[in-house]
Amino acid sequence: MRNPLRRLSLKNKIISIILLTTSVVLFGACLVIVLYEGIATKREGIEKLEVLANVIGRNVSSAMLFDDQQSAAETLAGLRFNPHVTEAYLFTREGKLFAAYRRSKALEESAEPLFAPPLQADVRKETGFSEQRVSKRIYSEDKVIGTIVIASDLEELLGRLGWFLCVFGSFAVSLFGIALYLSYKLQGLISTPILELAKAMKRISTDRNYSIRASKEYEDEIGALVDGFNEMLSQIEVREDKLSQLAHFDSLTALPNRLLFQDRLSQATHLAQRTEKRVAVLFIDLDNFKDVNDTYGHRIGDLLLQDVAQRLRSHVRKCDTLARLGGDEFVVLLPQIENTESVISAADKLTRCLSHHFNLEGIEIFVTASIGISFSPSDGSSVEALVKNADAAMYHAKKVGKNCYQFFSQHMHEEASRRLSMVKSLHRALERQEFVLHYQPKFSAESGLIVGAEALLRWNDQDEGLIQPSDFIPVAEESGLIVPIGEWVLRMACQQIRQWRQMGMPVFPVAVNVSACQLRSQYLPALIKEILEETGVKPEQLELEVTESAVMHNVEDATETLSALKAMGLRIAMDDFGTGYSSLAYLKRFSIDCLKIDRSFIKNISHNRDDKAIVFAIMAMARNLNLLVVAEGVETREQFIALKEKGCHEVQGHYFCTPLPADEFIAFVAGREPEREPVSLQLAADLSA
Amino acid sequence: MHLRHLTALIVALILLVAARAPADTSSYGEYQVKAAFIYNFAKYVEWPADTFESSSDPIVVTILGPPPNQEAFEAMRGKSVRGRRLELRFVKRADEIGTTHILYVCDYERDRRGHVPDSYRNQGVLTINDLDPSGPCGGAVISFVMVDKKLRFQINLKAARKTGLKISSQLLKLARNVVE
Repeated sequence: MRNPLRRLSLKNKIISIILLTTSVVLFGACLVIVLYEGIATKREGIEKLEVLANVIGRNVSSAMLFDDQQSAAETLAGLRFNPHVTEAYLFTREGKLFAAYRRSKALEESAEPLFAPPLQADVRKETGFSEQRVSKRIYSEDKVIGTIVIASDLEELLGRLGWFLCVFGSFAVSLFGIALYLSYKLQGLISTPILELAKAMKRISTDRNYSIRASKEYEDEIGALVDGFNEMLSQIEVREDKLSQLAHFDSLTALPNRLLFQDRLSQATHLAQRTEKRVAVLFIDLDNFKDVNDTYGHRIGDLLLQDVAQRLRSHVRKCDTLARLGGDEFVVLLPQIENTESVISAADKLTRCLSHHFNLEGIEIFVTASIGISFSPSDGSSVEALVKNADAAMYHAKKVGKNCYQFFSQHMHEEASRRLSMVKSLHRALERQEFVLHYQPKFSAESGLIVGAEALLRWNDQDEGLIQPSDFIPVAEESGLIVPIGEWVLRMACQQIRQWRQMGMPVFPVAVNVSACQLRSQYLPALIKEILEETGVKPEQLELEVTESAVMHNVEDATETLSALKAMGLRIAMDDFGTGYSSLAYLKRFSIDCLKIDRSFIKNISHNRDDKAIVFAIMAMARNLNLLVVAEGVETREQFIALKEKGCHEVQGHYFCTPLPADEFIAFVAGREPEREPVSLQLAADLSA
Repeated sequence: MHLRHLTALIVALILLVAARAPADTSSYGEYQVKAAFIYNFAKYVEWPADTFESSSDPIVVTILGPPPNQEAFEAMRGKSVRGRRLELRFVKRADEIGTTHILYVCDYERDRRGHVPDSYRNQGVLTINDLDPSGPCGGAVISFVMVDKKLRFQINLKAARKTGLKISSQLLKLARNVVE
């Protein structure tokens, strides 16, 4: 069963409580007063009767002594002046009736002579439902000579009680009325502020307007409740602001985030449509920001982003929106532009403002930015299209040399699309195992024997057929896919080495190219160790080829990683040597075993004196540093002879053998090995020449 | 018959403690009731202030003339009123009376007709006699009378004044007759 008070309003509850309390108090008071009055009246009646008994007793004692019943009866008859006395009796000591008085005739006739109860005490007082009675001994010279009994009705008592009930009852009813009136009027002191508070709460929850405050009328507990409620609202308001800030602003730089930017751009394009003006989106990307992060750590990187944001902000107009999309990507929205020149000047200003160095905790950092610019509506009217196209233009700016700005054109879009589809394809290629390794043998210039092989990555796309590394490696590097691809190459090469060993092929090291990205990773030594253990390949059977530029990019880390790999027993070769502007001083510090002279020098060795001089100088230096020298890209007999003359240790190139699929490579090796013949008949002739 | 019983009962009530007489109602005769009355009169009479020399002096009750039933009065002996003991004397002649406070002239001597000796009429003595309805009162303050075979009394205020006694209104109220 439900509590019936549950649906009672606060106001009615308060009134009910007050009225209930009042009723209890009034009823109690009434009861106490009537009871008290009853007891007092009863006692008064008894006392009166006792006095009467005393007086009468004294007056009739002589009559009793002289046995004068008539006189006694006359004395008792005097009681008729008291209308409440109903009857009176005199008894002798023995209990015989001596004289009697009765108020009414009827009673006089009907009543039997009473039997006088023997009195244990001097006096006995009794109150019944209809009468009060006092019995008292009569004395003479200290001797009991008889007993007087006087009875009275309760009319006086009842009359007084009735009167009292009337008076007090009407008094109580009027008090109840006053209490009703007062409680009705005064309950508002409690209920009104609570109802107001409830109303305010309801309004706030429906409007979701947390700036509303409940008004406080009294400094009591409800006042405290109102205060607490308002305090809570303030906190909610602050939190709402904070949430909105978090939702729409970048926490690092306090710039608008992508969400807010998209919103503003959307508004700006719509407004521009109506005013027939244009909107420009400038996509800003810091050049080489990754290097800053890698070199100085993310904390410095974050500080740099904050400073860059600060600088950019002070170089845009109030009506422009500068936002950070994430990483080192910023965008500027220029609404309502008049002409292209104003956009150019803005882009100039932004690139120039970054040209001063940044000082971060004593570290001087120079950054440049590449900016891509798109216009609405010519380069797209949707937010997505505008940002995407500005991004494409930015990408183009990076490609043409960084630290500049580029306007979007349709071909950039195509390029970006192609790049995007290439990334997708690469993902798919990894999944579907579309990559294959081809192997190109390395020969000893001295003996003509195979002394090693280089594993070269080939992509056999389902749709496009064989794709050259130069076409997809840059995209893989940009998208970071080079890491899983590089891992696949390492694992694949090692498995191949194991397979060849099991087939009983002659043992020679196989070289695998390691990208700058892989080299940066501190997990490379651990990964290689895992793969070697997995395949059971000995470290000296694996050779790693790192490009000069990859090493020079981050000398410190590269040195450390190379040392660790070298310590594991791997052979390290420096690939494309001569193109990476490397400081020769580093050469000794890197734990390398071998220099591979870049094919661009080999190509012209027979007819370009400068290149010839460079190649010979490298070889001389390598000899002195006790490094092995390998020439790659050897395509003609002249080239080979020139290299051999100058003491090049190993050669590799189409002149001897093109990169071969694994099975063909086996056949190639097998076809030569039994005879232990030099590279080929032709080569043998060369060697003997 | 009924009233006789009551009278006897009252007397018995008064005498019970002292006399311890057998409660035989028939043995209570006229003189026993008279003796009880005389004792009760003492309670409602105040003697002049100089009557008693000390507070312990007894109240002397003298019965003049031999009563027909002397034992009826013996019950009075040893009783006290307002702290004073009752002293009972029986005399045959008036010159034997001496000092007394209550003098009952018994009408046994018919010749005297309850005549109170003159010398006791103004000496602060409560004089009591039996009244002959046909004769004079004989100078007594209180006279016994028989009304409807019940013993009653009358009070002679003139005689009382002469003696200087104060008689309680209670007693006066009960008197059958108050004469001047």
